Amino acid sequence: MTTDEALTAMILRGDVSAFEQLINRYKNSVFTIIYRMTGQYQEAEDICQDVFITVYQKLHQYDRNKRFGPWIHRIAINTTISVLRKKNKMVTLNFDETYSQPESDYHYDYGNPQLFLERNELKAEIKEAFTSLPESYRVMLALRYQLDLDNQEIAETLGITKENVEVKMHRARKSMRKAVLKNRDERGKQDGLSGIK
Amino acid sequence: MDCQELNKQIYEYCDDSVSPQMYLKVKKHLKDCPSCQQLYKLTRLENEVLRDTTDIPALSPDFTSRVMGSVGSVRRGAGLLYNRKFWYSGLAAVAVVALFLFMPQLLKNPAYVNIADKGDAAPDSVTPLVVSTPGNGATVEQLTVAEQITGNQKSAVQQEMAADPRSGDKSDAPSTPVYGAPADTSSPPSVLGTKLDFDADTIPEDSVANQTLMFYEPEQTMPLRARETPIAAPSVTQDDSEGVVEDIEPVLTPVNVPPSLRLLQVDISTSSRTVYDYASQDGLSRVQIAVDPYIEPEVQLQTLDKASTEGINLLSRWVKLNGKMVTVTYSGNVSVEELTNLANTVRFQ
Repeated sequence: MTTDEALTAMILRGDVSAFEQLINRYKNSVFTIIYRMTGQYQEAEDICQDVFITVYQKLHQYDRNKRFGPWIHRIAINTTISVLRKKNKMVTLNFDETYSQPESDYHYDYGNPQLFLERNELKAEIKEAFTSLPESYRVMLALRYQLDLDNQEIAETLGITKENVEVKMHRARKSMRKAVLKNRDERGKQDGLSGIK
Repeated sequence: MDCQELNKQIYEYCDDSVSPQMYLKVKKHLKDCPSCQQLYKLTRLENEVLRDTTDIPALSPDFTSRVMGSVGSVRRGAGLLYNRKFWYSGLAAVAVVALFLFMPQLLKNPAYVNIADKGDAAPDSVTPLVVSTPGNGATVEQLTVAEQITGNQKSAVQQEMAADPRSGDKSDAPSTPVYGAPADTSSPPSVLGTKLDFDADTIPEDSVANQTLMFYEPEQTMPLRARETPIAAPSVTQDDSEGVVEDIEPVLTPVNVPPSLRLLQVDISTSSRTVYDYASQDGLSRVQIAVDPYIEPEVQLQTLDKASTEGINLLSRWVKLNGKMVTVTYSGNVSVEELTNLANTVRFQ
């Protein structure tokens, strides 16, 4: 398979078909990031298109000594933030239940509907806690768990050090955990999670 | 391992990013700690939620083709942009060439002219500076314009002169010498006491010449020459641009020159100009007195650029001698004060 860097070189030499390969290779990851940040399908797709056009226009600025993935993901994040801020919208990562497929959870315990409901309820609370996180935490968690990037790739994408990613990632998880437990306490949920701090 | 330490490692443990030793420690603690088991379950559920992408809709099937179409538009736009830049560059070049071609015409426009060339080379559209000589009606053409003065500035100068008590009575007659000492024409006043004069009747208000003053070029009097010329009372003629020749009375011999200066030569080789060269007794100081036909009713004191003229100063005065207006220029490698004292001392006969 042609590497990303080789494709970029081909594009710069005028091979437009190489750019098509690059689109197909990254469109899902780019769209995932954008969709998590916007929560709206059409807007996310429009921004995604703008991202690839920007990539095409700025491809001469890409340093082929570095990986292409973090570069394009960073463009996706920055473009989305720019668009949302122009619209004066809160940047949120979307976990809209409209698109959730709870059917996938049936395998946990078909025989205990109570546990199934509690589990889905807890998942909804986790999603709610996630959306309440600061933008930087949400983006970081999305890169890690949605795109399955390691700390080094996240560091390259966000332009920070790997150590900084580790610290921020841990803080993000702790913040989400704190939000989950706080919401449960406010709703008077009494279960085995009450003792977790 | 205690619960606090497990709480620090639980995320990495659930992400399978801990070392094998840490993995065994966490696993062992979880087996014996129900509270941490709840923490573990919650963390696993969080990870499940965070990794869940099933809610993300798929992109439109034609997404790639739409992007490629947009990229094609961008590429075509870039081409057009390139062409546009090319044409902008071309237009800019044409504008520069046009400006170059039409600049002479612009300069001929009196509204833009600040510098008048030699009278014989002045373009037809430029009105030469012609100043009426009070008393005899002789006219000369301006040689060089070194500075511009506007009509308002001229009026201001005239008002200042009118307020000068040393300027005399302007209402005497238009032919009265400008420095206001008509009775003593052989003894010009000091530089400070000399004033400018404008004959508004002979200078059109819209004339370029009406806006210009000061016309002495250093090259006309420098460098000091040492040619041997017979001392004589020359008969100087004056040529104007229209070919009018008028004799000037040979009464231009300087007298009362300080004895510290000795006359080296008199140069009459230049038509209408007489130049007297003097030197100090020690030969270190050189002074030149040039008598030119009257050109402009102006007196000025000018210190030339010492770097280019080796410290030579120049002082010019307008003097009326026996009804004839002449311009006397004092120059030399002496101070302005010395030139002024010399100008105040020297008389002509």
